[in-house]
Amino acid sequence: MAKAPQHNTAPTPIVEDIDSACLRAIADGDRNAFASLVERWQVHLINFFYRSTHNRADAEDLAQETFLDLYRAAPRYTARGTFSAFIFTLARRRLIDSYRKRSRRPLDLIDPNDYFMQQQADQANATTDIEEAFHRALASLSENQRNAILMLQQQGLSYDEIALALDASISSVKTWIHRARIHLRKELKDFA
Amino acid sequence: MKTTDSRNPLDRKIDDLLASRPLQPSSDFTQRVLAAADDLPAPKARPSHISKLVHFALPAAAAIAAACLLVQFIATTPAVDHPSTLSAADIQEIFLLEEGLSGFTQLQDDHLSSDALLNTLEALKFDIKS
Repeated sequence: MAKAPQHNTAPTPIVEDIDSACLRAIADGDRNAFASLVERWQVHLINFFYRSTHNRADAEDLAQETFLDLYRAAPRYTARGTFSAFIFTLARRRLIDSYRKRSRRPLDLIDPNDYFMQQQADQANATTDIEEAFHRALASLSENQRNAILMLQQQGLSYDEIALALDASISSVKTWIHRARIHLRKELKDFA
Repeated sequence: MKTTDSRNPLDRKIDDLLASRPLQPSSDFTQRVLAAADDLPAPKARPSHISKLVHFALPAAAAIAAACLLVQFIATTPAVDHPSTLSAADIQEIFLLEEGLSGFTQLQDDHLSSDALLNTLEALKFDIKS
């Protein structure tokens, strides 16, 4: 589902899009509707999480949890904003939850086999220098700055949708994006 | 708030990196998600408009009915009447007591006479009996 970036601040019209219709169908017990929704959004979510975790397995786990949250929330869903804003609200909550869990997890509980497999997976996902530098630069952004700039440029959400998903004002979102870009430009200046 | 310059190669590179989606989901990702969803309890079907209405209307109707019953009960309960008139016997008793007490005042005023005291008591006794 290619979605053109909408870098505007105009209020998003409330219309029943295909994803909202799918969610209503899920609430009525339609399993195929859930499958099609997963198919449509998996690349979006996995890559969104990947930019925060830099790890495929974690990104997929977070995407799966977000889809399950969506499944649970289906009966309560009301199309107040757009579906994009809704799903990224859930995604952001999942991300915050994962940070919280990670901060509580004792280091000695990490299985050495898991660590070895992780190293292998990281090697398999070896990226170019600029990709590495980009990941480091993204990781050094604040959570709000990173989420805001990814939602804008990677996911094509509007400022309204980002503000809704991040539970913030539009002016805050613009400030975060502006600062994020300045930071990225500074960190990647050697690649110009 | 323009923070990018499309002519700047670095800005273009950053835009490309930000917009990129380098990962493709694992081949079994969808199946894993669906299997995990199957383990969850099925989402409860949304309540219909009628059931929503009943959900709110029933307690409201019960409250209104209770209020009506209460009002009706208050309206039909006889008020506790305070006696507005005394019976003839009560009036007579009050009169006699007053008379008897006035006799005692005379006793206090005058010197204490045993005859007068006896007369008063006899008069009281006679009146009470009658």
